[in-house]
Amino acid sequence: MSVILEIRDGVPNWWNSPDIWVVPGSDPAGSPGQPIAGNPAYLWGRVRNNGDTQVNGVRVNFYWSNPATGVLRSNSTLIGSAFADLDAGETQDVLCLTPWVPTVVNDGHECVVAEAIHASDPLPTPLPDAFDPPNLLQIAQRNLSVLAMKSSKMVMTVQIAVSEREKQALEITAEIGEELGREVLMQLGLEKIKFAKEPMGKIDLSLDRGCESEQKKGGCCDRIHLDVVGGVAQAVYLKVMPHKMRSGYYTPINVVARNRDQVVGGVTFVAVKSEEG
Amino acid sequence: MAITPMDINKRPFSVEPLTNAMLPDGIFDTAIYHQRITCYYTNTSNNTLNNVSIYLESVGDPGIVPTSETHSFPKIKAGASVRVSWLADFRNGTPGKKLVSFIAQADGMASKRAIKQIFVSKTTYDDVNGEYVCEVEEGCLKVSHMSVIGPKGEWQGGDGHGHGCCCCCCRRKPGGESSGDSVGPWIPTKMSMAFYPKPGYEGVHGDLPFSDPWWKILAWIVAAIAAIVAIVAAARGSGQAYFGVEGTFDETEPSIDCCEPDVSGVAGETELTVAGVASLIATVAVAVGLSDEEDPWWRGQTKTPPGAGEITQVEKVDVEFSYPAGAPNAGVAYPVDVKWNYQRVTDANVYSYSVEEQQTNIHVSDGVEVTAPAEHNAFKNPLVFHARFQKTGGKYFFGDQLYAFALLRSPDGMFFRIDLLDDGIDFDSKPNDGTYTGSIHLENLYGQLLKQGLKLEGIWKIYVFAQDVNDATPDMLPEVAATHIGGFMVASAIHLTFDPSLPCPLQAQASVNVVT
Repeated sequence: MSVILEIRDGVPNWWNSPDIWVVPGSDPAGSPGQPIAGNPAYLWGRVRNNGDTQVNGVRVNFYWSNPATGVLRSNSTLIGSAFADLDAGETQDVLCLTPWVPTVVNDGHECVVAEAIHASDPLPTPLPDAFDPPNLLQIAQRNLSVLAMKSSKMVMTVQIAVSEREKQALEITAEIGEELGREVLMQLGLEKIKFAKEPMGKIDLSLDRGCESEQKKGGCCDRIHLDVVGGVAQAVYLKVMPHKMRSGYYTPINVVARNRDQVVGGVTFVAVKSEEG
Repeated sequence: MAITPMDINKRPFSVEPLTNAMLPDGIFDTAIYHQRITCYYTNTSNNTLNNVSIYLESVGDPGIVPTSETHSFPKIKAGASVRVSWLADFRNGTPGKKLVSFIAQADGMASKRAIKQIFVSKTTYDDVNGEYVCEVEEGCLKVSHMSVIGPKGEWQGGDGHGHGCCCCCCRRKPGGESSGDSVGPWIPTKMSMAFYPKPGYEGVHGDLPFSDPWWKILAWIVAAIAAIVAIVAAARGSGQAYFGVEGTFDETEPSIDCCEPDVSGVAGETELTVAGVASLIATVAVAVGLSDEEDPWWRGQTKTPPGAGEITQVEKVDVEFSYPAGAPNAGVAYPVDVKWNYQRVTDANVYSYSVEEQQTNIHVSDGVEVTAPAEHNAFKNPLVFHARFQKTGGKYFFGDQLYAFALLRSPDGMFFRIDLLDDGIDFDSKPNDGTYTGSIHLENLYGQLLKQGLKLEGIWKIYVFAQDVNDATPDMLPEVAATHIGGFMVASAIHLTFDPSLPCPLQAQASVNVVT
């Protein structure tokens, strides 16, 4: 007799869960899409009970945070909650009715986390600061947003953080990602566009918006080494220079944090050509 | 897989759990910390649904915290409406229209989500100015100088906010202790109200609260909350744990006294229900006196069109009520003589309009018919009884039109609350036939009675109560929806009188001789 709750992680990148999506606008039952900064949106989750026992009153909490490779409870904000009843083996969509208004500061590029909580399948005690989706079935993360590219360079800020009282030597890399699943594309409102085999952007990372610190070492680069201590967030800047942009195609760009070759977090930007030119 | 054909046809409403009363027009108010989000869920198909489970999924305000609970029904007949509710903590809620989602799922069918709106106001008490402030998204209503007819002997010396008079009944002291021990009822005779639209508006009419009820409903909410808080404070002396405001009226009418419900024999979880119902009947006179068709704000606005470009900043209504035919009562077409003065204050001028008229309660019933067995064996079967609530014109209320319940009084005076439902479940043979059924197995109460040294055998009395449910639909124009008001008591076993020498008569609609 067991209850095993799961909100699926993304594949191949666990931070791109297909079980969390956003419905922009004032109708929570509307179509999924990209949140718009400053405008309300609703969050949905999909929870599965992999156990053999029915469970009632599963509480699903939804959080948001700045685009970050290390999404922690301490740097996230609770948006709201919802309940779900699940038979053994059942999957249920869950709607959080608290309107979420992505901050204008991040231009709608934000991370969302969902966690399913029930006494029959508890989270660890004490609750770790890191959400830790790869190791906890009940938690998933959606660090995925659309980057509408114009003809000029775009700079995205990504927050790097580790849990309180921890210290990590992280390697941050910018990588062109693999083709995304159809489900994830639909959730972004991009179901009709195709994967660009030739990347539509040149990417670099730096520790400042202008590449000045890296220029001393020879310019921006595709990887940065950072010593990060708990309680202190640092920023790296992803710079995307458009390259052979084509309408109807996309290029996934991942910013990945590794500690001793182990992936500890990431953010994905889906670069598409802006309709505004 | 077919989708479960269940839906909610009427706006979910608030039930205050200590008094079991629906709040005015079903509107939730954050001053009352705990409320039950209550609704009727209807099987919209032509077939019986099996093993239906219903739960509340989410509320669109993180300040409103519902308790998880799943309601299960082995069968729901075609067209039947089942009543379900969830306790929620509203103390940190914010005013406005909030979405609430519910999930229903029947055997062999996919779940169906229903997303509905509830209305939430936020009432606070401003100690400095001695006024209640009821906030909604469209503005706030400030209510002061509330005068009432109350039970005899509740005059208090002291700190009233009225006209320098000693007054002030049932004022809860900081820390939760009550300075009065009356449980009402308090029948309004005078109040001053000022609505501050947010933002000020140009033109004749401003926005209605929630784009639905009249402004007067906010005044009724304030009066009802003041009464409920005072009742609980008087009975339990710990209002702080339940409410965010005080239960204060400014003056008691010196020349008339009202009867007071006898709650001395009442115990258990229903101890406040009788007093709560009595006060709801009393405070509803505010809504009756201010008219269902168009309230003084709307009428005053129509009669005082401001000049071009003027911005209306405040709209004041001072009102006086009197009761020429005696105390107000549920389901009765009682008259209320009313005098009110509307004042529109713009950024350039002040306009006034006054009315003196008689209004009549239109939320009436032609009577209640209760049937119960003359004799009942407590240990054999559940006690089953039925109630039919007649509208005027010979028709009956049915299904989701009423929020109805009964109080069952043991021979020694202990009360038990029983739902009255027209849902075709268990002992209710047919849904929507206008027969509301209540049932309880007295065997289950035996231990409770025994513990208190009370007897099971003897004459049990049945008292029934019903409030109408707002039937406005989302597609109605605001000024049309405003004329659809819920929460009026259409049937009550308690009667109010202006005779303070006896308790308010509590008239049983049926009696049962219980044997063992």
